[in-house]
Amino acid sequence: MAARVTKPESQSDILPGTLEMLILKTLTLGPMHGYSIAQHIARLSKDVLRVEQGSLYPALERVQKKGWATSRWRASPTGRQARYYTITAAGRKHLGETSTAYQRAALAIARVMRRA
Amino acid sequence: MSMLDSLRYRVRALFHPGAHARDAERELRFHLDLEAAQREHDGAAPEDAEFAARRRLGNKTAVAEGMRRVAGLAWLDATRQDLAFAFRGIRRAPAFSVVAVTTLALGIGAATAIYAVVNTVLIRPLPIVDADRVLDLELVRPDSSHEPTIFFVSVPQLLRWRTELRSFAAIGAVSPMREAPLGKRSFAERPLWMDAKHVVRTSAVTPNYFSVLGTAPALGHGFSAGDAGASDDRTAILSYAYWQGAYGADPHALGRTIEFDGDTYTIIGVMPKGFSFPEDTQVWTSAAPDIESFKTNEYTFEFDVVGRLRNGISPARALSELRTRFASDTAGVRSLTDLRVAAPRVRDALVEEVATHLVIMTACVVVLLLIATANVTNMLLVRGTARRHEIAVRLALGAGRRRIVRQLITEALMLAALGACAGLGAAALIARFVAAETALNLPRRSFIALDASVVLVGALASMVIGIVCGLVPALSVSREALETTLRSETARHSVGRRHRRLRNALMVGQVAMAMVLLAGAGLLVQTFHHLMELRPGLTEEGVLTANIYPGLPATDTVARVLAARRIADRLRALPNLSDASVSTTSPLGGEISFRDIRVPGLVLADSAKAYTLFAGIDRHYFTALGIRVVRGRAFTEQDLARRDVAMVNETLAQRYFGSLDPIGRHIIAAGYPVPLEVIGVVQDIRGQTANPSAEPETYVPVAAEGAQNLSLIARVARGDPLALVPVVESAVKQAAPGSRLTYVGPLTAQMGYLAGTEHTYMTLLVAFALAALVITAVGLYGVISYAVAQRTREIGIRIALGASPNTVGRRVARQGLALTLAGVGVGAAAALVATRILRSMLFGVAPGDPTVLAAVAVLLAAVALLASWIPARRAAAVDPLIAIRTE
Repeated sequence: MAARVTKPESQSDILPGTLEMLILKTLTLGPMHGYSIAQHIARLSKDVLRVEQGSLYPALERVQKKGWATSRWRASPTGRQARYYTITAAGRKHLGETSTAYQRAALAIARVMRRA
Repeated sequence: MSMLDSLRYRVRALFHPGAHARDAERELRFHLDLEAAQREHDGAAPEDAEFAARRRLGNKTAVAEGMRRVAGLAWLDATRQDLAFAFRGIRRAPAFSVVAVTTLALGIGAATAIYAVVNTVLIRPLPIVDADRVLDLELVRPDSSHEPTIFFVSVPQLLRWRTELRSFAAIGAVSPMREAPLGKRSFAERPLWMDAKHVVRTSAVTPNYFSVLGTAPALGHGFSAGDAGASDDRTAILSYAYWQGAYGADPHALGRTIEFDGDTYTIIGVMPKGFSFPEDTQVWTSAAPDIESFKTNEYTFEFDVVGRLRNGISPARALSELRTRFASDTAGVRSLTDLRVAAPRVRDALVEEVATHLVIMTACVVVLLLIATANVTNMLLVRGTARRHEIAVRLALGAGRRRIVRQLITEALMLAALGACAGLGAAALIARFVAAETALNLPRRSFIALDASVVLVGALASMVIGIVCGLVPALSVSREALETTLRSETARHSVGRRHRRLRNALMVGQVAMAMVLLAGAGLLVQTFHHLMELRPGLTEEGVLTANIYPGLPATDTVARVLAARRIADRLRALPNLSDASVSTTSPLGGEISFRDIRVPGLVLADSAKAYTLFAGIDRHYFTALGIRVVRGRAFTEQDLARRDVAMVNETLAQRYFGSLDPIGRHIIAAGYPVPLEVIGVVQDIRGQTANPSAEPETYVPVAAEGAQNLSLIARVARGDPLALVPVVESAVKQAAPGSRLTYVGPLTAQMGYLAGTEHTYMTLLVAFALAALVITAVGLYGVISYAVAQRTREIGIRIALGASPNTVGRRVARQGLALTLAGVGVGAAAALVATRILRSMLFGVAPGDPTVLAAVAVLLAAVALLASWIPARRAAAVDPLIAIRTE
């Protein structure tokens, strides 16, 4: 079963801000374009998290708007121009904060699920 | 850093929306290609891979739109669309748009102009340091029926206040402004009547006047100090505007000379920009010479007195000290009737008489603005309903209701913006008219202008109006459209009914407000009419007036009177002049003189004092002015040599002698050693004071009254009195060498000035009321036309079934008339209350006067009938065949 990350405003399937967190985490590996970010998330989650473009690209706009990442056009390995995203210092800081909060929440949820 | 990155992103998105869109397109294309390549790599056929990638992406436009929404650009796109939509809407209905824009322009223009006036006159701070601490010391005669009369103060009174009052750190004074002829040569050698180019507006101030107000010349220095200054001071200080206009802002103007009134003055300073007390003064001179020559004259009121409070003294305490001092004042001024003292703040004193008028004007323009708003709202409602189908289709195609509302409001806002542009133009014209009207007595009127703050307020007001005008129809129309798309034709009528009720309510409100404005205008027209009618009591046409300066010492009464009399006699002998005379006061205004009188045997209620205006007159005075002697006789040559005879006017005779015949009886006047025997009674004349009713008046021989001021009156045989000025000029030179005339002008000019304030306000209010009438008529026309258009089918059926076109037309016209009558009814009730604020401006007519209300109601009904007659005729002309086929 694949959790489809859709409807960025309502974040109906996963917790709000999670997609941004995943994007930022991915970008810590180095500058990447949108397609490879999506590929990377899908691969690491063993295809459980399949990010739709309709969510991915607005989310990329959002992280730029927040100042967590910047973008510039560069040649990709195939020679075509692609838009590469780079995480900023503020993005790393935000990532640190959200991942701590996320882990705490995930742990809490796991405990509840075990007991109930 | 994050802030900076974020800012860079936002700025780029906002200012390069095109680049953002291209980037998004490229990026998604890149993604699509990679995805397709991947699928192909995984073994799919190229076209399948491409198709699958596309399907995965979904609606590319929607994704791009999502990106734009995050970037904050969706709003921009929508606004751009709305503006284009609004622009198309406005262009598609040019007649509608022109009417709506004109309506708004009238409302916004009038309101902005009056705001500009109010802003300058009432709101903007005075160029006075610590203005709250500067009081105006006034002599006031209360008047229960009218605004109180405020008197200028005599020199001895000023000097007493200066030495006695402890509450003030300094007391200064200024003479009322007057127009002095400019020029090098002496007065007698120049033409007497001059236009504004050849005069300079001057006022005389005590040397400390500027420092009392907390200001000082911006350039040069003030008048030589000392309590009274040098009595031979011939120096002048220019206003900033005059320095700029006449001297090109030349700093070397200091030290140069300026000639006026036959004297040469040295320019010693320039006042700062914006300083203009009294209003419009161009040149200030030192009052020291005047103070010297009027030092003992208790009855010449020359000065407006201002005082700066000593530290720690409250205005109330200063006033009580002033009252105490005045009560124990034994010198001349207390002999005046019923005078009180007052000490309002200068700021309040300046706007005292105009504040009410401005409040009234503001109320009028607010009502006009409401009418305009109601009208445009109604027009948009009508138009919105006509566009119901279009809107229903757009809703069906997926436009959100919110979006539709936004578009309709954008359209209204665009109309309001166009209205504001035209309105600001109109406002500039109205403001210029008001600023040029000296008769309004508006302080600082030369500074009235549409400055940035006024334009901003006008723009904001227009925006609010645009939103209001747009919101009501947008909500109601979009709801109606939403409902009608889903319902059958018959169901539409119930929705239409709610809609119609709103339109009708707006229409009735509009008519009612127009009625109030028209009633106010009608009352002012009546007032002006009454004032013009009752002014005379004398025949003012063809009379030339002037002040005579005999060139003799003020104390030499006999010689001065003889000189003046020689001038009058000489003029009377001229072929073109039918009569001439001399008096101590100008027949209408100028300096006036009051005295207390006692009438033996007369007992007045509640310790009121009997008083009278006083004038010394010479032979031919009444004949020259056309004042009728109603009882007794006019002064004979023998009478004119006596000091114990008087003539009185009808008001005095009636008020103090009642049913008794005053002829042969005596009055005792303050300052007169012997009782005065009344030998004649003359008609009342009015206009000497601000009170439009006649005052009691006593005439004595000119020599008995003294000759401080002498006025000349001359009646021409025919034609324009001004044409005879050169003749008069040479006659004056021959008859009394060394004497000169000032303030030469036709008596009618003074009369015009007296009712000028009423006339100007009447003009403004009539203009506003007519604008309201036109707007309302257009609105009514629109509403009825629309009703006809909506019912074309029904009307067609009626006619097909045999109704006569006349009956149909009458029915339609009746609907318009019903709305009007409802509005007139509501408006009449409102006018009864609202016109009360006009009370202080009215004369000879009461607020809520039934004749005025009836006349206005008839006018409004007639215009309304006309406005509904045109659509009614159209209804009558409906061709049943075509009508039934429509829709």
